Amino acid sequence: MSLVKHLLKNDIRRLRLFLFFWIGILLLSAVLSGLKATTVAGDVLRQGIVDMVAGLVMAVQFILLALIVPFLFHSEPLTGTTAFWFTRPLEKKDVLWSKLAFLGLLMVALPIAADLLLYIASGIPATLWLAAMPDLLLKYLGMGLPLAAAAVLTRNFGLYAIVLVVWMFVSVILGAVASIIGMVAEFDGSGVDLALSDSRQLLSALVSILLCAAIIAVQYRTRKVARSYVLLGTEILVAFWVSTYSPWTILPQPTNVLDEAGLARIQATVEDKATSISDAFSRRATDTLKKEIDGELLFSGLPPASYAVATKIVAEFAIGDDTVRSVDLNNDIRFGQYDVNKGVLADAIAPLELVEENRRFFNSQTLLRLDDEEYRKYRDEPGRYSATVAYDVFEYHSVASIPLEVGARHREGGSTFTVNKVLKQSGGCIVIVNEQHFSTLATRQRTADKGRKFLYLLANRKTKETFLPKDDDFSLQFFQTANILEAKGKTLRYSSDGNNANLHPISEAWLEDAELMIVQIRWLGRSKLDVEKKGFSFGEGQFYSQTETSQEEVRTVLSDIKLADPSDRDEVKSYVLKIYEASGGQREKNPGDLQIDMLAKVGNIHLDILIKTSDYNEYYASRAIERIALPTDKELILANLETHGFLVGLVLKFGWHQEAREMLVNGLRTKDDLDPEWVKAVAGFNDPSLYPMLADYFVRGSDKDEIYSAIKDLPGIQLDDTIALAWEAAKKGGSHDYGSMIPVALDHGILDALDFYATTIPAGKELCSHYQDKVHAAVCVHTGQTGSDKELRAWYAQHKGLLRFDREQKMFVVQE
Amino acid sequence: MGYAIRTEGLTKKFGGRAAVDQLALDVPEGSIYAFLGPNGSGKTTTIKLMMNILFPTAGRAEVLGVPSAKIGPEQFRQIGYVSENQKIPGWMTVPQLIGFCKPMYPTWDDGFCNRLLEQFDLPNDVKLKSMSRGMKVKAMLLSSLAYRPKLLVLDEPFSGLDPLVRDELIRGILELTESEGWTVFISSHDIDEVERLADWVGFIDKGKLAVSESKETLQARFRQIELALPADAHVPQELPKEWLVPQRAGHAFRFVESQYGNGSSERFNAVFPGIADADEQSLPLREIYLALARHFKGANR
Repeated sequence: MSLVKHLLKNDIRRLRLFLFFWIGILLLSAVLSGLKATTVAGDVLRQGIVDMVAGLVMAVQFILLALIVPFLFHSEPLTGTTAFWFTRPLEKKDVLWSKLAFLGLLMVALPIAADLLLYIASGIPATLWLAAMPDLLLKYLGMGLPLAAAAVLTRNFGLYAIVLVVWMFVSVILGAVASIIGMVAEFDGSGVDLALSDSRQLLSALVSILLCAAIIAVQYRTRKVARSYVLLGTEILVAFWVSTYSPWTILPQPTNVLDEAGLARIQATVEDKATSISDAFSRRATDTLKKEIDGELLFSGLPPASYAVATKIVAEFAIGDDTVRSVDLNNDIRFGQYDVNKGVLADAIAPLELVEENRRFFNSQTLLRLDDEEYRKYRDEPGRYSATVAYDVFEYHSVASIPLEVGARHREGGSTFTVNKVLKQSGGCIVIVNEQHFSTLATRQRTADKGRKFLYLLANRKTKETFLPKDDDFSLQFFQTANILEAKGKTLRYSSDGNNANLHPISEAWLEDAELMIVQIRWLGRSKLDVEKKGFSFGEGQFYSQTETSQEEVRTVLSDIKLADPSDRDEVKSYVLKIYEASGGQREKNPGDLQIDMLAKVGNIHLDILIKTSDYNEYYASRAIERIALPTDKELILANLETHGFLVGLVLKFGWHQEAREMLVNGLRTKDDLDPEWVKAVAGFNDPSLYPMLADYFVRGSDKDEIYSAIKDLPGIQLDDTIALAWEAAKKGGSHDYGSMIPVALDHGILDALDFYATTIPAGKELCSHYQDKVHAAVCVHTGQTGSDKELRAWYAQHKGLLRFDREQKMFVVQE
Repeated sequence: MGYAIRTEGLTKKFGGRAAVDQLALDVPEGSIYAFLGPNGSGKTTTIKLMMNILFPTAGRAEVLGVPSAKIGPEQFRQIGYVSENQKIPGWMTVPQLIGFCKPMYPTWDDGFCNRLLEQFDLPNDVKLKSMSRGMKVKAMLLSSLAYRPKLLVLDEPFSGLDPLVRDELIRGILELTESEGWTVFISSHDIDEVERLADWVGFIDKGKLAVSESKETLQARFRQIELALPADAHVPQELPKEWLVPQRAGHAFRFVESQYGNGSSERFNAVFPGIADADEQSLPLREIYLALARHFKGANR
């Protein structure tokens, strides 16, 4: 033991200058890391400089390590025949222990101590940083032992550098191979989950450490260098195999928070039409051309304040017995971010109100990916869509609210949230938050949605209003130590612009009572379910062109499209598709357009072709069909009614209500975007048992003015509550929603609608041109006033507070 | 007689070529054994095999009664080793070298060390890497002698030293070995420098040991014989194998008798009957070495 100490002291004395720099670099690194971890995103320029210096310091740290280790081992080398110590009374094991003691104390324990200092300074509780010891040991042993292994295989720095360079070169080559294999797996949809990929990393690190230790041990025992080189080769190959192919998941898989029964309640449906079709971006040169058919996947039966995201879809599409299988669709959300599901979020933070114009959340995603040839074969007819959908469930969970003050902090387990800066300005504010997470290999959450785990809402409990940030960027500054302490800066910009600034202002007074509400996006579980949709059609979108073409250009192209006489069905279909294709860039459509005549030319005998291809351009198709359809087409029309809602016009025209009753009622119950004629058809039954369904559709459907016209005069229908509910929903929606709803609300004496017209719209809310006249007319009718919008608003401002609604006259009158 | 070093069939091959070939060597205890041979003859390889620095392909070596493969710290506490191509801890000064080595040797003698320091006149404040070659050798000798080793192994210790330093070192070693009674095994390709030291001599050539015996018997059995041949004298093609490097220059004929006194007169008379007048001279070690070296070179050719 005394000789071990003697040798250790000798090495320390010999390498004292290096050690002086090493300790200095460690301290500097810890200070810079601390600076980065706490002031991240404070000042971009300063942070950038700190980043660069920290990067440089890390590089210097590694270079120093790579220098010290060979100098340590080469003073008593194990190869060659000229070493001083070979003929001195030194036990090899004493030399080994002295080297390991140096390595362990100064190259491993000291950096770990520096890291721990950083964790303690960051306020991480002892229980957490103690749990990080294995990770830190892995990190520093993983750095030091390979260098030591290269050092014991060589007798001078030149040879050591060559071995290291060759080792690194081979490792880089194998790493590149591993990365190609990983990429291929990603493309093929056979990528592995986080638990397995982390397990591979861990095992690979362990294998590397063990085999490097074995090289050192064998060299000290036998000094037979050939054997050690064999071990080195083994290390490289085994580490590569383990990191790429190992099947062992030794780290824990995330456990579902939801129980089996909770997961079993979750169902999913797809809409009967695709929302868009696009050419699949070919990521591999060998890929054949593919089409992606996107649609809305709607989940139901979810727990409160939660939503689901599909991660993998294995689907097929069948027409009769003819089935085509889709390419498996992987939607790896580990590295992606998803739009905030505002509707669910609003429920999660109730009774606070989320001030957002549009809460509709489109869960649109690729449902099928087919070869272009298959797509052409199946696109014209509805079929049966079936899929097995793997999904993750997330929950919005309000964690805490912290004051809007610099330095305000909240700690939640291993996470810390600190307000670094608050910049108040007119109509909003910018808040810079430092988000720190402390996790270890053993305790890391290997759940989905790695990208975004927290949302930050600007909340005011007095006004009960909350705002989502307009910008919620990951700051460029990002900091990690051994994957343990992770800090990121978030620059959050809040603004009431466009959110009805008058009704929901972020003013200085408002900000006085504001706080930052932290909402966690909590993973609840993962499962699979089967989805089936009969009558699924691919929908339109094929002939939508990004380039706008003028009417004149369209007419020129159309003039070259001729229908041969006689024509077979294929020629007719080709003729129809050419018309649609020519119209792809046409933005404005009119009932007098040439296309309607051209389509109608195919004749009643080819009505089915027009119906099947109508998705490409419903505007022209529906008008042409209406022109050529005959009462004798009843069977064809009714068979296609469910998937082509516009055919309801023909149902009304030819009086087929009763035959279509079940389909009409079912559509009203399940669909959201029906043709107003459809509602008229159902209303036409005058059946009080259908009134609740009609009222419900009125609240959730669009074109409210037209629906209202269809149902308002039904005998015995009570709509006051429905109208009030619909108005509350519409005023938070888009301009189409409140534009179509203001006349209806005024008709029912909702003063808030008049106030909305008079104060909110001029304050910045848009009103689309389609509704401007309708709204103006409704205001005139229900106030008895005339004049411009400005004059009407002035009248309102003058009498605001004195107005009451006269139900008999259906007018707002001034009560003196 | 005890032996400090013995080898038996010791062989070391590098890539199939034997650097040391079936070497059988005995170094008596207390002797100063000069291990001689030209450059590349296998001297250093033999020493490294003895010191367990290299591992033999075949055969065995024993040092201080222990098989070389098992030589460890216990033996190295009794062995002093200085080699011309040994890596030295250049960053150390002499006191640091002493401080480094001392704890390894229970028999370290501070008084002796100080005496050596004085004798070798080594500076205290100069790093070894900055010292002259002679100084470095002295420092290495100091660190190998201060613990009074039983066996001192010197591998070409004087190579590249100027004559003054070499002489000083030789005198130093002679003084010490005489007073301490150590066994010294010294390898060299320069005969002159070890002639004064050695009492035993071994010649190695191309890995094979040609001679290994005491200097006294070696010098006793080697004689330079020179004679003047009559005009009609005939020198046979086949000469006795004991006659090394025979040369004829006009009437003069010269050779080295390698077994003088052991039937040498009979051999002479058998080849040159009737010639009685021959000049016999004893040979210095250098000449014996040269004769042997030339003999083997000719034999190989």
